[in-house]
Amino acid sequence: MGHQEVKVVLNALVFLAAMLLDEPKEVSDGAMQMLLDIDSGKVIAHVPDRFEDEVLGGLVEAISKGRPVSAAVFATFLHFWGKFRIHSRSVDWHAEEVFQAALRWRVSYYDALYLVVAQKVGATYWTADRKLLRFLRHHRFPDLPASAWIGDYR
Amino acid sequence: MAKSKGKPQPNDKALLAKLEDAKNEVAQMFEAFRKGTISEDEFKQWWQTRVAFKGRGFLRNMLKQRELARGWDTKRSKSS
Repeated sequence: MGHQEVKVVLNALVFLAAMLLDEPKEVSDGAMQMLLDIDSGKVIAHVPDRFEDEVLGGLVEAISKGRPVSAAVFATFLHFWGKFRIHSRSVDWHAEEVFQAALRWRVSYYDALYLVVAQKVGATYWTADRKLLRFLRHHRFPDLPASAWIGDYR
Repeated sequence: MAKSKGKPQPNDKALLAKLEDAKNEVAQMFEAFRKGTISEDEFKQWWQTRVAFKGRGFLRNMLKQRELARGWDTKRSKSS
C-alpha cells in the first residue's frame, strides 16, 4: 500500500514569514519547517499562479521601503517556485468560481483563490492570518477545505 | 544617443551576477541540509545571516491590507 501524499496550500505571507527575523518565533519557525518539508519532498505544495505576484510584489514593496532584502531572498523564491505545483488561471481555476466562492464564504477574492485551490486538490490551507481562521471557524461553511495557522505547523 | 534617466545603470550586471551566485548558494545549502552534510544549526545560521531580514511590521501591514480587501474595516464596523 502506498503512503498518502501530504498536500499543503500556502500563501505568500507564509512563504515570506519564513524570512522575517522580527516576527513571532512560532510563525517563522512553522513557515521555515514547511519550506524544509517542501524542499525534501515530505509535503507537496500547491499554489495558484498568483502566488508569484504576491511574493514578488511584497518583496518590491519591502525593498522600496528600505528593508535589507538580499539577492538570496529572490533566489530562494526561484528555488521553491521550481518545486511548487502551480495552478493556472483558466486551466486549473476559473475567475467565476473564485468570485462565487469569495461571496459565498464572505472572504476576499485573494483568500477565496487559495481556498478554492486547496478544495480542488484536497489540501490543507496554511495561513499566517489568525483573524481569517477565526472567521472561517466561526461561520463553519460546509464546503470549506481544512485550514490551519502556520504557527501550529510541525 | 541622448542620455536617458531610464538607461540601465552600470551595476545592473553586478546585480544579475549576484542573483546567479545567490541561486547557486541557495541550491547548495538546501542540498547540503537534505543530505546531512551540514547540521540544522548550520543551515539556520546561514538562513538567518544570508536570507532572512527584518521586516519591521511588514507582515502586519500585509495582513492589514488583506483585512481591508475583505471589507473588514474595524473603525467603520464599530461605528455602524
